[in-house]
Amino acid sequence: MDRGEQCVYIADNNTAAEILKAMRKEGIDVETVTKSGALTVAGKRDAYLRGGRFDPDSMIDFLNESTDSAKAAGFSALRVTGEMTWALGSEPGVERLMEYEAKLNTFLPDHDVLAICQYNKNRFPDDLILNVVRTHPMIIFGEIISDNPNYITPEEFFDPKPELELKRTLQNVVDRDESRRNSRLIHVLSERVKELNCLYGITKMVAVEDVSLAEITKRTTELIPPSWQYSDITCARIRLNGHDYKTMNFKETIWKQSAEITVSGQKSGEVEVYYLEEKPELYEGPFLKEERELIEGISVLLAKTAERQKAEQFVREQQQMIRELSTPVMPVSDRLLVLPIIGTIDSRRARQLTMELLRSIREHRAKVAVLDITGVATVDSAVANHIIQTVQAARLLGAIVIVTGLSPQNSQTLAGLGLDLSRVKTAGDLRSGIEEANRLLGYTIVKTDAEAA
Amino acid sequence: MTETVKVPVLKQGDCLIATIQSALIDTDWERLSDDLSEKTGKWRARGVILDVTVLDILDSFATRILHTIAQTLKLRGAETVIVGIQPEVAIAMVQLGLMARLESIPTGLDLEEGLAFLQQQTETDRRHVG
Repeated sequence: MDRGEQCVYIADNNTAAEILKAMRKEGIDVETVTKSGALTVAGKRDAYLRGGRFDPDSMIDFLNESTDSAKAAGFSALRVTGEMTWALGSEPGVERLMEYEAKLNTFLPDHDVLAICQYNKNRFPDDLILNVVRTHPMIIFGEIISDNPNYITPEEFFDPKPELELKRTLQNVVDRDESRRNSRLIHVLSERVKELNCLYGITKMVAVEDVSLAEITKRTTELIPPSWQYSDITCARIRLNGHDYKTMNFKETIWKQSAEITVSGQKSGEVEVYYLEEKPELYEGPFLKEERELIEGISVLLAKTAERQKAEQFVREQQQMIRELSTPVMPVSDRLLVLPIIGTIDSRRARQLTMELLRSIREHRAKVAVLDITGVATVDSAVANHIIQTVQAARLLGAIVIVTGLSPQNSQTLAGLGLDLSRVKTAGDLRSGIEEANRLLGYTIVKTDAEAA
Repeated sequence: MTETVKVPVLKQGDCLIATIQSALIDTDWERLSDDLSEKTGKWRARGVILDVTVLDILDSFATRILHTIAQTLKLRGAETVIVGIQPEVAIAMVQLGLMARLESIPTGLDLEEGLAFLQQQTETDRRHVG
C-alpha cells in the first residue's frame, strides 16, 4: 500500500474480520485504506469460485480486469493474495488448480500484478503441495523468503523434459557443495576472529599506561577461553614473575597446550591452556595450528610487556639517581654550606635544589650557603628567577646565599634582563665566595708560620 | 565556635619569646598583637622573637599581620625576629610572592639564632651610641 498498489486479500480459512484485526495489530490504518479502496478483503466466492465453479481462464480474466481497474483508479499495480484452502473442497473445477498456477506464470510477468498464494502444508496432500512448489518462482516457507530453485516453467510443467530436470538436480548438487564450503569457511574465519580479538584485547591493555603487569596477566588469562575453539571447555593459567592467575574453571588435564614466557632471555613464566574434555585430534593434540601460533603470540606479548616495564622502571631509577647526584649539598665548615651545580636548571631541579638547601640549612644550622653555578651552561631569566627564589627562601630560614661562578656572558645576560638582583650577593668564583662567607661568619683565615717555633 | 587561642609569651633577659603552638585565626593574632604590645611596655623588652615552627601555612593574611606586629612593636621600642619558618612554607611564600611584606623583618632558623641575633643587635646599638 505504501508503494501505491491496490491490495486484495481473498480470505477463506480466516474470516475477513480476523484478517483486518491482524492488520490493525501490525499498525495498518484499516479504516482509511478500506475507504480509499487501497485495501479490499474479499471472499472466495467473489474471486476463485465465482459462479460456483473454478475456471483457470476466467480467474485469469478476473485478475486482468482487476489490474486494469486498479490502474484506472490511479494505483500503480495490483497485489493479490489468496488463501487457497477452498481448493480442498469439492467444487467443480478444483482439479484444474495446477493448470491455473502454471498459466499464472505466463500471465503475471506481462501485467502489473503480483500474486501470493497461501497453502496450508498441513491440510493439503503432499503431492499437491509438491506441484505448488514447482509452479511458483518464489517461495515463502517459515521465515525464509527465497527464489525457488525447484521452479519449472509452465511449458515444462505441461511438457516435462528429463534433460532440464537433470540439469536442475545437478545444479542442486553444486549449490550444496558450495554451501558446505562456505560453512567451513565461516567456521574457519570465526575462529580467526576469536584469536584476533584475544590479541587485540591484550594489545589494548598494554597500550594503556599505568596498568601493572599483574593486572595485564590476570586479564589475559580471562581472554584465553573465548579465543579457543571449544570455549566452554577451555581453561587457562598464566604464571609470570611470581604471579599466578587461573580461570575459574581451571583444572589440569592431559589435553594441554603451553608456551614459555621468556623475558630478557630468561624463562620467567608459562601460559597454559587445558581442555576439560576430550576432543578430536587435530594439529597439536586437539588444538589447532593457529592456536599454537596464538599461544606463542600471547607469551611473546606478555614477555615484551614485562621487558618494557622493567626498562621503564630502570629509567625511573636512573633518573632518581641522577637527581640525587646532581644536588649535593656540602657542609664545608662550621655553618657554611657549598652547593656546586652542574648542568641545566629546570623548574623541577630548581625546586629540588631549593628543598635540599633549606633542609641542609636546618640540619647543619648553616648561616651561609655558597651556590656555585660555574657548571650551569645557560643562565636565562627562568634560571635567574629560580636562583632569586632560592635566595629568598633561604633568607626566611636566616641564611645568606652567595652566588658564585657567573660567567662573563651569563653576567651580561642577567644584567640585561632587568631583574632585581640587589638582594642577591655574588662573588666572582668559589674561592672568593668562601672567603666572603667566612668574613660574614666572622672568621679570618690566618696563615700559621710553621717555621716559627 | 573555637575558643580563642592564647599564645604563651615568655621573658628571657630583655627579650620576649612568643611560641605559636597551633594554627591561629584573625582574633588570635589580634590578641597576640595586643599581648606583645602590652608586655613590651611592661617588661621594657628590646627584642621579640616570634616562633612559627609549628605553622605549616603562612598565607597573605598571616604575613600582613606579622608585618603589622613588627611595626607596632618597633614603635614600642622593640625589634622583632621571626624564627622557625619551615622549608615547605618558605618555598610556598616565595612562590606566592609574599616576600615583599617580610623584607624588613629579620628571620632566623630557630630560637637560638633569634636570641643570638637580638644579642648582636644590642651590642651594635651600644657601639653606635659609643
